Amino acid sequence: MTEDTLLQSPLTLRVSGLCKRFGGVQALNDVSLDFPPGKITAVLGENGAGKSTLMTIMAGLQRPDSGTLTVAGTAVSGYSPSQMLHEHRIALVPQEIALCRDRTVAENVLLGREPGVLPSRRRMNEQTRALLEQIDTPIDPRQDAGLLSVAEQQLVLIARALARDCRVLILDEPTTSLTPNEASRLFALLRRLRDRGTTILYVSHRLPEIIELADLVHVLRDGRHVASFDAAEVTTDRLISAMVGRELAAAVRDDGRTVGSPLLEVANLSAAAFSGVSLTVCAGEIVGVAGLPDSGSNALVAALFGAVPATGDVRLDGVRLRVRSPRDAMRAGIGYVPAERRSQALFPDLSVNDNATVLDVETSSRFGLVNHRRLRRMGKARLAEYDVRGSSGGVVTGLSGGNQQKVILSRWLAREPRLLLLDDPTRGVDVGAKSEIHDRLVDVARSGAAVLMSSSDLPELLRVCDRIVVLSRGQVTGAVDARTATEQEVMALATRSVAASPA
Amino acid sequence: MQTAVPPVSTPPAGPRTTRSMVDRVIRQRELGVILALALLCVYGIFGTDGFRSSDNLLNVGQQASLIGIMAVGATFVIIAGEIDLSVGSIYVLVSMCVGMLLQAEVAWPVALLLGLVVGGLCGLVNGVITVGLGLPSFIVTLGTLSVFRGIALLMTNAAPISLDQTIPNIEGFAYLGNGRPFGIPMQLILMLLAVLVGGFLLRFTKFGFHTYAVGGSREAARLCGIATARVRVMSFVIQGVLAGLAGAVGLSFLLYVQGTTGVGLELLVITAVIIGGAALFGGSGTMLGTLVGVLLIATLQNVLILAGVSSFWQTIVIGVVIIASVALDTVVRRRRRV
Ligand SMILES: Nc1ncnc2c1ncn2[C@@H]1O[C@H](COP(=O)(O)OP(=O)(O)OP(=O)(O)O)[C@@H](O)[C@H]1O
Ligand SMILES: [Mg+2]
Repeated sequence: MTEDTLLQSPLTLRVSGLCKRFGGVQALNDVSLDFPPGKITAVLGENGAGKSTLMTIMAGLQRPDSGTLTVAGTAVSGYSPSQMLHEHRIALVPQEIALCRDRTVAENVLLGREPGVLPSRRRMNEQTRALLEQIDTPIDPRQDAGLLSVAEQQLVLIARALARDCRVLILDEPTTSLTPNEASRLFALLRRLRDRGTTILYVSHRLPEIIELADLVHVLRDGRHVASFDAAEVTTDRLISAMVGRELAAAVRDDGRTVGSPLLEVANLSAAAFSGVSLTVCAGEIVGVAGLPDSGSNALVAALFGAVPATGDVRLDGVRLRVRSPRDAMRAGIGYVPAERRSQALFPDLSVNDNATVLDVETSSRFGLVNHRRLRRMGKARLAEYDVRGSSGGVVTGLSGGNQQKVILSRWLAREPRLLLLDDPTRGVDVGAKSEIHDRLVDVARSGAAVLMSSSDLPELLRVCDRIVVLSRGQVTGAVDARTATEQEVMALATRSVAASPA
Repeated sequence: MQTAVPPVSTPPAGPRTTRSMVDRVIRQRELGVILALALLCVYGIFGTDGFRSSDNLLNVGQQASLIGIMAVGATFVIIAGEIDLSVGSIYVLVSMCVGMLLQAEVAWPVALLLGLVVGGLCGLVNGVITVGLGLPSFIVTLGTLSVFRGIALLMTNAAPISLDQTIPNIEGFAYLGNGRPFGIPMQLILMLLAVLVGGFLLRFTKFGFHTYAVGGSREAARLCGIATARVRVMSFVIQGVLAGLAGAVGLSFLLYVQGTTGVGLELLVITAVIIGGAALFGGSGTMLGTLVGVLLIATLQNVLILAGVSSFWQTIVIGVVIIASVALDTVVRRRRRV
């Protein structure tokens, strides 16, 4: 493929009067929008506002109840992924990435586009390498896709879109698990694609990045189009008030928490992904763990919950813990919100309610019999408390990504753990819900528990935590006071080479 | 402290409109099979002679029972995200064990109980190997399918067992398979009991809830502190006991068992569960669905026979029904999520 096949005639994409209903939820309500060619258009809205629904309709993954999608002046008749992809050249990088994990990168990129009847592996690899080079991604096409980091998987999906000469590229929350560096490389790539004439649709909850990247911003609220802005002239505050329909008070830092005596003491903890980690979290304290994806920061949090094997000395309230499994950890009063919502936290076949109360099944049973009525009542109350939008009896996969996350958080916070471990707790959560979640973490700490969280969202750590411990390549490279530290300081520690510290 | 977010009015929950009621009914997983069964019965009643006679209906029930008892176990295994291919071999092994014990003049309740223990142990072996070594249960039970039948053949030197009337109290044992209290076949009663108990376990107990959770996402279940290993092993044990029960009842029915008895049963059993709406990859399914699936297969066979369809066609029709019912289910699922 060459540069100029990408220089397709630009095409206008327009939706008008789009409606989509799921049971009792009107996900899209008479939405009419323009997506001008050669521009990056961001779509913004709270969790459940209908962004993903809109994007999946445009990618042909579902059909609208009414309304039309017009591509280059002609209305689309059939909604199917292959039609959108091959006829209209609209490609989607979905919110929840799904690659064939056991297939190679090349097979994934060229999926359904394999050259010839008996595709030669060598040719496929070459083609893929060429595509990946275009987007500056040195990934070996022969590697298994399952071994890639999330960022790399995303790039593979973008390469897949390029392999089809797509003219419209839709990205649904692509930066939720990228490091700042990876994100800025992605932005550079998107700008390059835009300059070549590709129409780009971009969904994200990170307002600063939207203002930096997008040309145009459409805002959805409760399934309706409520406002559009020129990104060059808008401020985050205006975007927020358009999104939530009100002003958001700034989070209060000085919340009158008192930090008590050490609650969690970790000495010389080692596992496959990190070694010799020591840290302390006091009662009432929120400590962050920062680091690049390969730093072992997520593994550290998981290891404290017994989710990955580790050796070392861990004390809770001064008592030495032997945590060999999540069950042990839960018995000791530890809670854990994992990062990978879909594979690690959700029960896709269970209802929203069951998902919210799965940890209470134990306490709501007598003689092995579950008190379902009690669970339903608990679940209902919890979902209302966390403002989860969607029907509580419906399948959990029918909730928007952010609402799913709230369900999972509610599940753990209700247990009032002594030590709460979180890995990327606000991945895919909108600004409003995010600050709500942050408030709840502060509440947890205020009640005397210890909170240890890792996050790929550095600003979040700086905003919520009291202290941040930074890991690089599996070793602690420093700790900073989150009240005074800057992103640059943390990034400097996170990228410090291991050679600098005694190995 | 001042909260950063003023309280938001919760959006009105979807009113229970007729539309959402219809939606709920459509989503009811068993609906498709129940409809198919109803249609089949209507055809049986008006299109064939003799379908509606109570004798015939009870026969259908009886034919369904052995598969049904095993399918109750398979429902647990499949919901837990596993598969057990060895049920036919557990069936014959337990049949042989019980037969030998009876020939040795062990009292039949004791023989039956020991048979169930053997079945449970077989399930335990399946479960422990699968969970302990982290192997796919498809492979493990494909192996034990061979092993268990081999043991059965070794034990009896591949000779069939025939229970004759000289064995003391053999009538008591034969009642299990041939008795008709109140005119209802005992086998059918046993199956319904298994369905009721199984359905109760699945629907109302912690173990049942955990079975769904483990089958839906084993990793999420582990991170929620659910004893996933115990749940998975337990489902195999239940399957083993029930396959054993079916084996004992089968022996009681014919008072005869040979090395090839029960070959291929696993496919019928799994078919029934899948037709009943359980997902082959775990996480969903119901006992009611399984019951209807079992009855559908038995009724289909019966109606086809009554309609004078040749047995070759019967096999074809059953194959088509499997695909059609799963296809229907998939369409319904697509309606539910993207
Ligand atoms: N398959 C489905 N079944 C039932 N309800 C659904 C389904 N898909 C979406 N919804 C509902 O439609 C609404 C819009 O969901 P959507 O996923 O489009 O939100 P979103 O704007 O992408 O949110 P997020 O930022 O959390 O990803 C939500 O209330 C959601 O519960
Ligand atoms: Mg979304």
